Amino acid sequence: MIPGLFHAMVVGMQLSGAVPSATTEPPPTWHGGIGSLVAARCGDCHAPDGAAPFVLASPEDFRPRRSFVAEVVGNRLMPPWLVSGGRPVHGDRTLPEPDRSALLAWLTAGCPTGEPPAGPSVVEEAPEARPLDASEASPRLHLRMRSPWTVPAEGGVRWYKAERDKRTFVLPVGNPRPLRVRALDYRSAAPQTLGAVAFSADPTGDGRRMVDWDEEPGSYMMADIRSVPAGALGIVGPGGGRLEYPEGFYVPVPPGSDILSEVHYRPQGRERVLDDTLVLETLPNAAPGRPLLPVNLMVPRVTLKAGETRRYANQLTLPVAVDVVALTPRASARCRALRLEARLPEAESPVSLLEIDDWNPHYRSTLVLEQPLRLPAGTVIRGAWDYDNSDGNPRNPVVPPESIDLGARSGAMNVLLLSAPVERREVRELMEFIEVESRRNRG
Amino acid sequence: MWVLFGPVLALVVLGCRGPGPGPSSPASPRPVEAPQLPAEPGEVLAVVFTSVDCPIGNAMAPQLRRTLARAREQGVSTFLVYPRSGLTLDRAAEHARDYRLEGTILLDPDKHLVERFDARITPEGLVLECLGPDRFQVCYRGRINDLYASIGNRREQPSRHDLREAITLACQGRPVPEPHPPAVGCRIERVP
Repeated sequence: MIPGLFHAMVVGMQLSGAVPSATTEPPPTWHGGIGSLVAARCGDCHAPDGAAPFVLASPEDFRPRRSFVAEVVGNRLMPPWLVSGGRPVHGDRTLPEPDRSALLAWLTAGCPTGEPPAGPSVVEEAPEARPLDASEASPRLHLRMRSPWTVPAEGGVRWYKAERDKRTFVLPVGNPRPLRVRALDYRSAAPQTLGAVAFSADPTGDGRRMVDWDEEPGSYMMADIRSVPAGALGIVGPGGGRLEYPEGFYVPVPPGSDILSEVHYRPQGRERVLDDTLVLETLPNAAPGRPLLPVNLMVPRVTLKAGETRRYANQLTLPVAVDVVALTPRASARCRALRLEARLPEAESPVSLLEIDDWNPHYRSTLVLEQPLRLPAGTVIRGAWDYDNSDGNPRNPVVPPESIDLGARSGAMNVLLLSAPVERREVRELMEFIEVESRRNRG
Repeated sequence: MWVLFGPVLALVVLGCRGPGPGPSSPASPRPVEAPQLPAEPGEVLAVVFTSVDCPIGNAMAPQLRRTLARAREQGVSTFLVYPRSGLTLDRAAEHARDYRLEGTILLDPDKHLVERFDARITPEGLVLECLGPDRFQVCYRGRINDLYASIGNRREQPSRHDLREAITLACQGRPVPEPHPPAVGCRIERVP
């Protein structure tokens, strides 16, 4: 428990009138625990080059806006984290309630700095640099947008109503051999402008033709490659960042591919230039690895009248045993919640894979499970998406609501289960299943 | 863009300079004294409390720019009030320039204007009618538009331009219907 937390609890109780007397315990301080809490939970985004609109790295950063920070922390808007249940995933930014109380008490107390830890400072010796053995080094490919592109000051219709505020760019790779990508690291020149960035490998040249057809750099079209959805390699966001798959797993990039990046941007009231880079970290040739294939549980079409709410659902049955390593959800802002579960053969109750009670596409990303989940052949994966096209949905992008009828070959809403067949010989069978499922869903 | 910082003190003593035609049926019964705002009696002012780094306010900047430009065409004086303690005039002017917001810049580090007009949020728009020397009637205090339903919930485009409509009504001498939709944005820190 952070020192001063008792103070925080008493402050909370006093506000509700439960405790008449004050405590003498001082409020928490920056050096007494709040600094490390902020670094762990807020530091990734509220950094000088982060996705957040301002830096939060010291008490001085907090003081001019502490009421605002207290409001968004208190109502749980910050730190943002979509997952409310299911399998544990990496990168959970959920703020434990004791920490939330301590942070609020610290803000209420005026953001006291406190005393730095007493005693002589301990200087940790840096580990000795060791040259990487060529056999263990992970070859890195540095890719860059072919030309910068300027994000407009405000949003607008780019193609039709559903295609707003996103743009697809081609990052040429030109790889003569297949690549086995174990990590992606996206660095943006304007991270505050970006929501999710979805990556797919395009060996067809479709993406390049689509981009060449557009007068500006990039294209207003999605980065789906035929039936393969944008994000098949993974999604980072908001603001870019790093996505790393567990050791021994990789996403495959066929020879002669381009990487397509589908960038979802959020206009910031002034123009911002994107001149972004992507680093692909690959498995060395000698290293063993298992490919992650995008098993796509999707609903191909969403049709809603103005004001209508509706639950969409679909399911599929796994043809082979797989290890599910990561989940990538996709749905529009009219979706309010989604659920994903697995019913194992002969099991009485399903296993919850993913629960999101308050869906917000701005914060979506690929969710890497803390532990890969093995699912036997015959497991039924079932997904449900709750859509709300009423004006009671505060995230409904259009008010007053309008009827919508949206579809995509890769799914108007879906969850990609990045999965590796347990048996290597079943890779092809799973690939064929993905194709068959895609055709089945398209009718 | 005009920058009014040092000169504001000189203008304090001028206040409103005589009677003139103006809006009728003010919405708020209590006049507010604000010597920082130079105006003629009957004149309509648009005052926007803003901040250099509130993402909600910045996202609304293009629509706000058009609202303020239209207001000036209607003869309305426009002001940008930055209530952040420690903010320099250069930084405020840079922000206004970056987002192409035009209006007289007022720094309010001690929250005089914040207190007078009970401003709570940036961005928050006020429409004032000058009643006499340093005295104003608040015709409107609320949101710029409905781009944000609430913090974190952004629409594609605003469908209501509340500040713009309030300015038009005030210039026509008509009351702005109440209740005024509250501002959505970043809380103003009252304690310096």
